[in-house]
Amino acid sequence: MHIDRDLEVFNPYNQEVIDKISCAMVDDVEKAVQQADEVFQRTMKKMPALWSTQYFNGTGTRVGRTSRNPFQS
Amino acid sequence: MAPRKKVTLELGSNAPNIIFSDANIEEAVRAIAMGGYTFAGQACVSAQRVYVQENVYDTFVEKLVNELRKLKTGNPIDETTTFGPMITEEAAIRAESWIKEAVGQGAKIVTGGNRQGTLLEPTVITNATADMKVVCAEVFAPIVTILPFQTEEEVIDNANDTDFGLHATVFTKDINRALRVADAIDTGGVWINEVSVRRYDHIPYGGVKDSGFGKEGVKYAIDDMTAIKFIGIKLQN
Repeated sequence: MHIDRDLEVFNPYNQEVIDKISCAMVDDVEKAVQQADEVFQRTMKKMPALWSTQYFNGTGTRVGRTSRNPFQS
Repeated sequence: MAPRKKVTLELGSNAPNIIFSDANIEEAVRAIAMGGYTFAGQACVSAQRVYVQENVYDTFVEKLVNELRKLKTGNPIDETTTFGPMITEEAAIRAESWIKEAVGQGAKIVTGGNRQGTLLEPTVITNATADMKVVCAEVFAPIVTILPFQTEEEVIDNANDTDFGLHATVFTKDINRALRVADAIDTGGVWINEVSVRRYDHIPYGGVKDSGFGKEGVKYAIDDMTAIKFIGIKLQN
């Protein structure tokens, strides 16, 4: 099952539509899980604990600031 | 439930907040006025059952009602708004019906109780009994029920007399009592001198009994979801 549509987000105070969010369907979830598993097997599972710790610690501050590969720190 | 999959479930609660007479009452009042009504009470750890020791009971109720008058009801998009609507009108109608049911069973509305669309007034209920829905079920609305108690033993029994067990709170200046009660309360977490709704992402968060199982909180969630593999090596002599 797959549909391309957005869900409307209402302000419960006055029922105004204040935003739209993507609507994920079963297919999208399946795709996301498959992708996550593939990345985990290929990358995360092989990563030493120190690297993954550095990766997690640094990701937040690096996102949007630089395109530098976080694994090379 | 998914077979052979790790699962964490957070299934809500009816958080007991216990206020002993030696507590800083002003601080406890402010805490409950925030913790019972923030997000219009729609939080799993929202203060729902507030147990107040008998000799400060009347003072507490009066001060709480005064504190709630300071809330500014309105559109949550307006930054000056401090109290907003419930998620849907259906949810507000359901909460209103629980108030009416409690009143029909002998409870008293001290303030609030009225609804306009999705807006349910910040409500305080007294004269309630343990079998009323506003006490024993998860109210998930801006409704706080205040119940009197005399002794520590009695209030521990009352706080534990529930199918839920997510967060609880003890207000007291006596650290020995605080730790004694915290130990005796059957919940996944206990705050001392802070309202039950308080939660930070890094604390281990999750309930017991019907409130669910497994833990949230970054480190604890990772521990919970990690499959530990033992690898042993037998060395040659």
